[in-house]
Amino acid sequence: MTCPSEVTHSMYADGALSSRDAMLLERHAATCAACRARIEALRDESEVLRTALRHAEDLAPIPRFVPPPSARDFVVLIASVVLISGFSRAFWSTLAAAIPTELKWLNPFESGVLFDRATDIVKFIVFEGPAMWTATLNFIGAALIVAFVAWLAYSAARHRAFPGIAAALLAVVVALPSVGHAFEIRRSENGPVTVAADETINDTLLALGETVSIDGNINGDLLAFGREVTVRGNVTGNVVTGAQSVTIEGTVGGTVLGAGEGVRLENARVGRDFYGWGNGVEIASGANVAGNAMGFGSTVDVDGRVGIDFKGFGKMVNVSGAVERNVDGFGQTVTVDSTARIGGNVTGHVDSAGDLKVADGAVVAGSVNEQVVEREQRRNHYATFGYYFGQVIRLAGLFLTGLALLWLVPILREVSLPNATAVLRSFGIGLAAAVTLPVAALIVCITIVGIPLAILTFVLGAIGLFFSKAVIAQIIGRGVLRNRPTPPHYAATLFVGLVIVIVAINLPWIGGLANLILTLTGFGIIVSLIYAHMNRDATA
Amino acid sequence: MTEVAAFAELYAAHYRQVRGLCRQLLGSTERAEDAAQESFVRAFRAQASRDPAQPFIAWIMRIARNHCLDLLRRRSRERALFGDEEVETVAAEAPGADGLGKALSTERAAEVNAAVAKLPERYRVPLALAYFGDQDYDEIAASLGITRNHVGVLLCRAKQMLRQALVDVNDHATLRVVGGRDLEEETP
Repeated sequence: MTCPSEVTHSMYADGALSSRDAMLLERHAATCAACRARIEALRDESEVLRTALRHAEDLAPIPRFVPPPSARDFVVLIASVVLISGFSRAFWSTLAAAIPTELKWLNPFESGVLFDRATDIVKFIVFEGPAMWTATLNFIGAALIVAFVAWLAYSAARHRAFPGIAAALLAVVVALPSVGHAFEIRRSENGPVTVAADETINDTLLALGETVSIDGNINGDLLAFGREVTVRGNVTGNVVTGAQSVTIEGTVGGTVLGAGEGVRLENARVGRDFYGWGNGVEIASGANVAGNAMGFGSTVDVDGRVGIDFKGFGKMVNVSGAVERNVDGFGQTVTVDSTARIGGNVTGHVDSAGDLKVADGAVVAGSVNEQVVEREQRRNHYATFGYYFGQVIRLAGLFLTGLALLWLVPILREVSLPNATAVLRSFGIGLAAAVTLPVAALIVCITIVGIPLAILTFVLGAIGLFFSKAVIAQIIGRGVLRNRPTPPHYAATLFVGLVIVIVAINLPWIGGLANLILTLTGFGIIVSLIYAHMNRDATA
Repeated sequence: MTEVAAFAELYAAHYRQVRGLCRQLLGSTERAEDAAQESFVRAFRAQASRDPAQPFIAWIMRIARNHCLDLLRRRSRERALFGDEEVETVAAEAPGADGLGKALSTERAAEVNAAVAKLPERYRVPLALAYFGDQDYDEIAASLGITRNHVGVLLCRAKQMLRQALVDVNDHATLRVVGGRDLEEETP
């Protein structure tokens, strides 16, 4: 008989062979010294391992046991906050009463101005805080999109291999007639990128900067991305631009594609078409678009002239200038002012009858049609471009900030909600914290010494609520990508989760509830983590 | 308060062993401390459900083991973690098992530990369960969701890798002589 394998020996040494196999091996070993020696060595080895593994633990220090926080602890925490603030208030009022009236001016806390300022700050944070966050979020989101588009354009410029979107962007530029054949790139991290009035560029120009001002001539296309893009000079080709604010005042030989919070054609001459995406899209009174114009935004205004058709998609579509052919307005309200001159038909796709308003003085050569879009479909915002744009910005902002959060606080990448009880508990903690935090902060606020603490509480609460979606999204994303052969990067799980969260909170009817549940559950997780961490630090 | 105090005593008595299992399973002291704390917190919460007939150490070790395996599974999928039995078997069939040798026991404990910590997860976990958690092959197979034979293969391979690692670390001659002489003398 040949000697059994090492696995068999090893299992035998550990007493893990079935009795039949063990018997066979023993019979063989009786006649094979090599196998006997091997088994003996493996037995010794197991013993060595047992001893060695235990050995390392004998000197480990034992930290203090920290019992998990109970509901009672939470009540105690709130009660102590209330008590301490009550005491300090009593202390300060007693102190104030003890000071003789003549010396009152010495007491810095007596100053009404100080108190007013402090309450102003708290009020500001309470009422303006969410708006502040939204603004920051929007800015980050817009910056991310601009950066992404800029990167795509940059890749295109470098003729690198890149995926379909970049190819599409390039295709847009290539498909339109272009004059220039080469690229010139100008970029600046913080400062402005300018093309002076006396300067001429005989290439396609890619300009990336905080502010981009084009005053000179560009014999080619212009690709400009930044926070603020202004074109006052002449561009013989097309203009593709993305910025928070886009203003075109000069002459563009080709087509203008502009995306941003505000896109405005002011005294501009556009040789071909104009496409504008943004919160506010405006063709101001001095502007002239020789071809078609299309605007997508919350408000879309045409004060200037459009050479062919105009299509406007937005909450409010307003025409007070000249459109040589047809006007199609898709919006809650479509207005044609008295100064307007329309060469063709006016069609308004509006919410309800009477929302297409054509003023008395307006000249419409063709017919005026009002088409009431089904209220169910129209009233919700799902049909507007601006809405989706907003959601994409929201996603980008949450993704970026969430990524930073997960990068800074790695423990958040690991948190999980294994069962329904955990979800309910986190939701409960989130709800309790969301209710008690402002109350506790307000109570603290009553005492002057508590004001900084109150402000801190508000700020932390606002930050926590803001990040709660990222935390919950990370958990959802991990759940979705659970079955991948390799564990996905937290950026991937965060992104997948955020897409699901954003879709969920935008669902009709139940979106609001979903938002509340997701936010409070995420907030609950954050609060429990902070609480557990503080508790450990305090007692360790 | 007495409840906490009583539990704290059990904690003090068994913390090292629990932390040890967590460290062997997770391969990191830092994460082991967190996992040990979490295991005790879970035990504290679940005290009411504990069978008083069962020794506390067995119970807490099971909680710790399950918690650590959960953590590991969360990081990588179970099947991927423990590989394919057939493939492993081929790798484990390499000839020559001289063992680590008796002489290694105490003085080389630290080296053995360091080598264990460096083992890939799929080998370290069954090794820790077998030689630190004192579980038999059936228990390990059940915890990891693999077959008994697969456990045998993983353990055999783990020990091969340990030997190799220790040979690399230590004086080659000593080991070879100790192992080799034993075999040569008794080989007919």
